[in-house]
Amino acid sequence: MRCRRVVALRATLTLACGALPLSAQGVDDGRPVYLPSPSVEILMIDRVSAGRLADERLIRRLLDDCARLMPISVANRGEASRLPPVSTWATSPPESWALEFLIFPRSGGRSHCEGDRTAVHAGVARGLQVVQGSPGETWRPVVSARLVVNGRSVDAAVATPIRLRRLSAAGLESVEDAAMRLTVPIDSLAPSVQGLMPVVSVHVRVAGDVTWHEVEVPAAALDAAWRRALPARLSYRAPRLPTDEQSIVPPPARDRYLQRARDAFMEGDYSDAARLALVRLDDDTLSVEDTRLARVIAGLSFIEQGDDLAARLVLAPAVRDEPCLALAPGRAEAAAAMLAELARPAARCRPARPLRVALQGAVLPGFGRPTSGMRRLAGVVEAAIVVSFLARSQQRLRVAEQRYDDYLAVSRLQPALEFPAYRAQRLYKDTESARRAALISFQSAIVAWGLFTAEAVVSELGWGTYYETVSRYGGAP
Amino acid sequence: MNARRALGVAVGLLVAASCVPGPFERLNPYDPNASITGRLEVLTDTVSAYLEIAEVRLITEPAFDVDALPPTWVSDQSAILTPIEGGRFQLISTPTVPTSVTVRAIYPSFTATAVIVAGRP
Repeated sequence: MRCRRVVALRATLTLACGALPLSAQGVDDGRPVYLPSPSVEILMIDRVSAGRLADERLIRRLLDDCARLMPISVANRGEASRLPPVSTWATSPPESWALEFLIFPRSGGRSHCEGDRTAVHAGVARGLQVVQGSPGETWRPVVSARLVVNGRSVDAAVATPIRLRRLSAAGLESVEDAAMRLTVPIDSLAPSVQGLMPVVSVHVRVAGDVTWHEVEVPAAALDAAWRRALPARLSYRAPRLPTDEQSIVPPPARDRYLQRARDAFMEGDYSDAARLALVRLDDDTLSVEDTRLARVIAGLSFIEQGDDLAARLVLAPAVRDEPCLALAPGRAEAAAAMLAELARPAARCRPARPLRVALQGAVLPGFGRPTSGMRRLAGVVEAAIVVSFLARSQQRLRVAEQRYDDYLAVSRLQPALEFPAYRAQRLYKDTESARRAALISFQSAIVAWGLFTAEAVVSELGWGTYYETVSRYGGAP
Repeated sequence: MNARRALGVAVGLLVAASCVPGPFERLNPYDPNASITGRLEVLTDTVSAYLEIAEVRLITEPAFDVDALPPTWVSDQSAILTPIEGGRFQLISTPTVPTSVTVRAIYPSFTATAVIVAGRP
């Protein structure tokens, strides 16, 4: 009977815990991120995703089931009832959104979090202070922890101990502060002006060790945490005070769901517009234009809500993809200023006159590409191609001249195995073949030079047309 | 940059770069396909005394260093007048009647011919 019960519990545990697996590094689905190291193991949980993890009842059932098998005990089960329900996390004020790093010591060299760690850590994350222990196991308690962002310690990170209950071999229990919870507001891990994620690492010290152990947090995991936080941030910002500036008129979307976001934006429902746009951004099949539109709609909505940090995060990839993105003059000045901060200087975006491009390209191969970085790179490649053709031409010409000198020197007085007539003919043939190769290389250089110049003119004309659409974005109804 | 000046620079560069020469001339006389013509200028047209030397000079168009690229010298009566070196022939047998001896400078690309009279007139 007992055996059957254990089997049933194990099945329940497998089913329940298996449905909530712990992720590897860099997850994007709301699951905790597991960051192992030789001395500690860290679980990174963002509160929005923890809220999505499971409901209260499921976590409790998991804890009860796991407690009987592992054993696991809950230190403060009574307090759990006073915790806010899961649903409130996703709708709490943005200032309270935080990332939590649950830092556990390694138990006797093995992973402390093996098995049903999702359930255990979900419980810890909820403030239940779940405790896991096996009889006789030892560990080196975590005594301090700090968060380092871009090489600087974050003052806003708060470290609080977590009590772990240890079972001795004799069956006696002892409780000690062996693990650590490091909580940091997500705004402390803000992306840079260019929208790049900061370099974040958790520094941990365990008992009996004076050195700090560093565990790096993957940028992808931070990015995922931010993306999960964005939709909820919309609800808790006071709309910006209306100004008399002309609002942007986004171009129509091809995607019909994004079109709904655009309609909501045009009606001033920024919260809905951003929410819909953010949902569409998760769709990889969205066209480039629609992706840009979704980012602009979401970014402008965040700005309207006064959340510049979130706006920067959304707009930065759009500007990275199109560094010359600029709003139509006189519209949405706050957004225009932010884009100007992110974007390439206008001087490097403005297309050049075709005649100038043609002349520059004719003077120096590949030089007819003055505008953007990629085209400058293409110009360097083109110049390299032309120069390599010319260099090969010169090299073959030198070979031809050497062969011709040898040809002119052929005489019956020279000691040689070949008859002079045969040798002279062979050397002359070599001479001519090297000369022809030099000529072909030279002609290729000239043709390539001309083609590259023509292509630079055509691409500059094309860029001019495109530039009209991205430099006056949202300027016309 | 001034448009006219830029165009001038571009044309100049193209002209300067277009220095790949045309086909090289075939100027080695050992080359059977060389475009060389030549004739023998007779310096001594008659030899009569035993061991006397007759001399001819090879004139070519275009000119080249004959000493460096010597032809094969032959005589059609080598028992009378035999080639020794560099366009010089020696009378090694004096005929009783004057005899015309044809001497040649032979290259794979051309042959030059001259006549020398051997014997007393």
